[in-house]
Amino acid sequence: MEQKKISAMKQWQEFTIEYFQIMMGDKKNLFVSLMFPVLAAIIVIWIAGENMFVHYDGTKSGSFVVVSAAIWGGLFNSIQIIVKDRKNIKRNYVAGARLRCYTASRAILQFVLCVLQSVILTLSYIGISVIYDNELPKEGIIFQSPLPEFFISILLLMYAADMLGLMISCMVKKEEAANVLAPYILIVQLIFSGILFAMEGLANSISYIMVSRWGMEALGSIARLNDLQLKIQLEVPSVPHEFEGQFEATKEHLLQVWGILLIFILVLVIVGNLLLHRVSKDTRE
Amino acid sequence: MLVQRGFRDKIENCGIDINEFFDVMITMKGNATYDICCFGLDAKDKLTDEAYFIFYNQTESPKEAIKYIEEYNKATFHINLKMLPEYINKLAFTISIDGEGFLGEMEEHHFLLWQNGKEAFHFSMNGSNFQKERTFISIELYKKGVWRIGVIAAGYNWGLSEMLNHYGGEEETSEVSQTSQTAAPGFTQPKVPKTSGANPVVSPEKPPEHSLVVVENGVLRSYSLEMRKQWLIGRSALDIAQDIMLNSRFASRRHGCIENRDGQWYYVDLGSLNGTYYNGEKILPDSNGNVLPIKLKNQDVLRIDSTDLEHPANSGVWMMYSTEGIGKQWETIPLDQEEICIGRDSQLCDIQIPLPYVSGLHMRIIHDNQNYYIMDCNSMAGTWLNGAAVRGAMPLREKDKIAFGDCFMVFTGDKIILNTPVPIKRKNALAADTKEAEDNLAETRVSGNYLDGKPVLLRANIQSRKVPSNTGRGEKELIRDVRVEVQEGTLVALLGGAGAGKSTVMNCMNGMDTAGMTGTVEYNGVDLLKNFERMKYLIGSVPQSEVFHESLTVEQELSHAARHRLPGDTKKSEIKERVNNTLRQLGIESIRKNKISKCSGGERRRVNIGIELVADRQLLCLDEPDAGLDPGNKKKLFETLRKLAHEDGKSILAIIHDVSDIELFDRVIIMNKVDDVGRLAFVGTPKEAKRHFGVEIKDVYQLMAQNPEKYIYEGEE
Repeated sequence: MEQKKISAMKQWQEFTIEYFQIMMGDKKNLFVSLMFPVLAAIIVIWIAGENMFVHYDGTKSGSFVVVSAAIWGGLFNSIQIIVKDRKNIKRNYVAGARLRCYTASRAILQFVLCVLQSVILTLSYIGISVIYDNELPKEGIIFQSPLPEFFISILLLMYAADMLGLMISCMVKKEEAANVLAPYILIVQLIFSGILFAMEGLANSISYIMVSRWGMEALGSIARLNDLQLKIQLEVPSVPHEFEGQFEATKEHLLQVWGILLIFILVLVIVGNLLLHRVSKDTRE
Repeated sequence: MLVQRGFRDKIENCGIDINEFFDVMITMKGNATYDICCFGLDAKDKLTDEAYFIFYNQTESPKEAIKYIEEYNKATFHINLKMLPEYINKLAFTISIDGEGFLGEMEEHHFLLWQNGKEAFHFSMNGSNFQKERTFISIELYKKGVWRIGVIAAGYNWGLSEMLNHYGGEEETSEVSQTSQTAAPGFTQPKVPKTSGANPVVSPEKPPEHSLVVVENGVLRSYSLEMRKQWLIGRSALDIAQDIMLNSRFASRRHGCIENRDGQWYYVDLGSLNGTYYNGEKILPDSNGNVLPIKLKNQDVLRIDSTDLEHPANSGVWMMYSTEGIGKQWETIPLDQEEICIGRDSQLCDIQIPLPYVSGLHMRIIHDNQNYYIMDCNSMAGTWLNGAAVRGAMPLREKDKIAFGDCFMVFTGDKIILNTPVPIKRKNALAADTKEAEDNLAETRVSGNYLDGKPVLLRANIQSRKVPSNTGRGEKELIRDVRVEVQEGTLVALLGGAGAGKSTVMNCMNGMDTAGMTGTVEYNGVDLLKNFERMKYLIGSVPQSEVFHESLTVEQELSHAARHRLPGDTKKSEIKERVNNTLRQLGIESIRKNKISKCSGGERRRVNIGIELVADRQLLCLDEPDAGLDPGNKKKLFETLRKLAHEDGKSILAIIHDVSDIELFDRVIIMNKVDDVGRLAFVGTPKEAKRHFGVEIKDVYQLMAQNPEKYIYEGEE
């Protein structure tokens, strides 16, 4: 006896349409969301672009800026969207709405937004190539060109940060709490990315749960960091450049990193959705 | 077409053209004298217009829509359904014994439909299904979208007078007697009703009837308990005159009785052999060997059965006490197909329940070999079997209770007995038919009698609500001893100073926040807190803060609200219609295309209310809907709410602070802070409040602040 299932899918569709209309109705915020990667790309090109793909240090710094921009953009895309809608969510939840449909609708449209933002941010690599005549890696690790790989890495990183923001938005009860938490999360992500400081021992273990670390690994691998000379080597060629396993430019490594980012995304969405169920216990302030 | 008991179908499918006259012919054969009558009933199964009580002494209805032709032991009703007024929802054909005798002795009964000289429909029976009953309803013709016919064949111990009373008619004399005065051969002249005229008389709403529904051997009988103080229940015996006669072998001859004590109904087991089960638990004597009477609540179930209720006997008896009246609300649906679909969509479903929270295809009952199964079709409101949510295909057992929202069914044998609520909007629809009725309705409003007889929708008896103290030690009591009621179709204000517990009371009454509460809240007699997941679709909560999306238009916001709150299979056209209705009800049609961010304060309030109203909730709880509005907008808003209550039948409970327009409210509930605990200070109409306190309501807060302990109200019983 087959049970017909219609409601959950319909509800998800309804929430998605609603959120799409909300996004399109708030053109100011939409403009800001799309202008942010433009601004970030300009900063990458202007500040870090000159030495990207010239030497190891310049490329690593430039990649770090891209990682920072992706995390910042993703986090702030979503950190408010649930918490400022919390009363509405409770109202709908009590009325019978499925929270997983609500969370899924936001997650899907955030993905679309992240795709647009990632395309723009990826253009910074083309900008670097055009403006500074710096040579990007001749071929990608998986694809013929490195650009799709840069795009996918930025997208996964940005979307993982987006889902991190979504989870925090599900967790907190007030918008102010989300605003206060955001910069701390960003700082922690950047510190434990392994770029600013060397990660050893416990710090290294902690860095495993930071999306920034994996984003940096992906971008560094595609940029062939291990193949680039150190800045000092340009003057003192005898200085050795030690191979760093985290930037191994192999298909297996890149796919592994992407897989880890995907797992982050799934876990963050699921945890966020579970946390959101506490909304039924919200009481009047 | 020869049919059996329990048959139901469209009249047209029986070969009758309902646009033309047809004949109902009823013949009787037996040793008694039989009164054959036709009752023209409204949507509430009441004889609102006694001009449609057709019998020997009143042989024609207005406009000759029904004409009665009598012959010896035979009655013919010449009927044109299209000529009946809109408020006539049913024609019930009854046969009563006048004088001595019982229906068990009846030899033959035939009910035929004829048209154009041809017999189109035939039902026959004899007295083998009865014993000492004296009246039975043979057939009903009823409107459910289209005109349908149902074979009832249900017997009662009453005579014709009680039948007339049961349907709301009145006798000319005060004596209740079946003795004939001037009798035509084979017929007795029943008592003449008090009035007979063409115009309907709209009586004030009566409180719900206390009734007992009995299901035995797949047959439903219902008894209006109001007619006497005590009802003896037992297996039929020659030496004992039971009021409710049972056939079950598990029933003793004096098994139990239902009796009224100080307005409350109790069940007492009279020392029966097999005992009685009360809501699944056997009634046992106390330590002294005495069986205590049990106070009955709405939907309490009494069963007389084998010792294994998990596998009940077909001959077991199932009885349910109901405060929701009897008659139209109960229908018997035979499960004579492999699959019976139940839901809102008339095209998809065999049984259509046109309620907003019912999904288009809500549930299915499947007949698989000898067994029956129930399956929820992923409905929004869910389906509940014996109090547990239906998951997958669950087997149905004898006397299983099925519920969703405020719809209720019992599975028995090869049928289900279905109870659906009457949408409250239909009560007022009757009044629109005549000017006299409109005047009556207007008069009741002006004279303050609007509340008279209005059934209670929500009844709260909150002993206490405690929450963890802010200091982290112990508990803080928020409210205590709050006993209040909200009647159907009324606008009620919840007033009180800061911290008096208004929001706490509201959140308890609507079930939204009851942690730490002791007491009960009943919605239409059903325990709301225990059944909240099932009942929440009937209640709308409008918070004080505006919870909508500023970047959406008013129409978009209401459309999304409707889609979230109504079943997923609600059609776009239905959604659109509901949105249009809501915009009209709230008077905001002109701003439908405006972005909410551009709306004024008053308009935003209405949109906030509209988010719940669009789902057609029966009870609306509003938290300070007027906050921040200027006096003019406030009054307009309250007038809108009053209209929603009085014309659309919504029950509205609103927390307000400004009492300038309190006269627009039907009742007020005033809370007061006494020793840091919210207590009830008053419940009643605004006029009664003024009399009670001796000051205008706006001065009540100051009065109570001076001497809070003086103003503790015991609440409504």
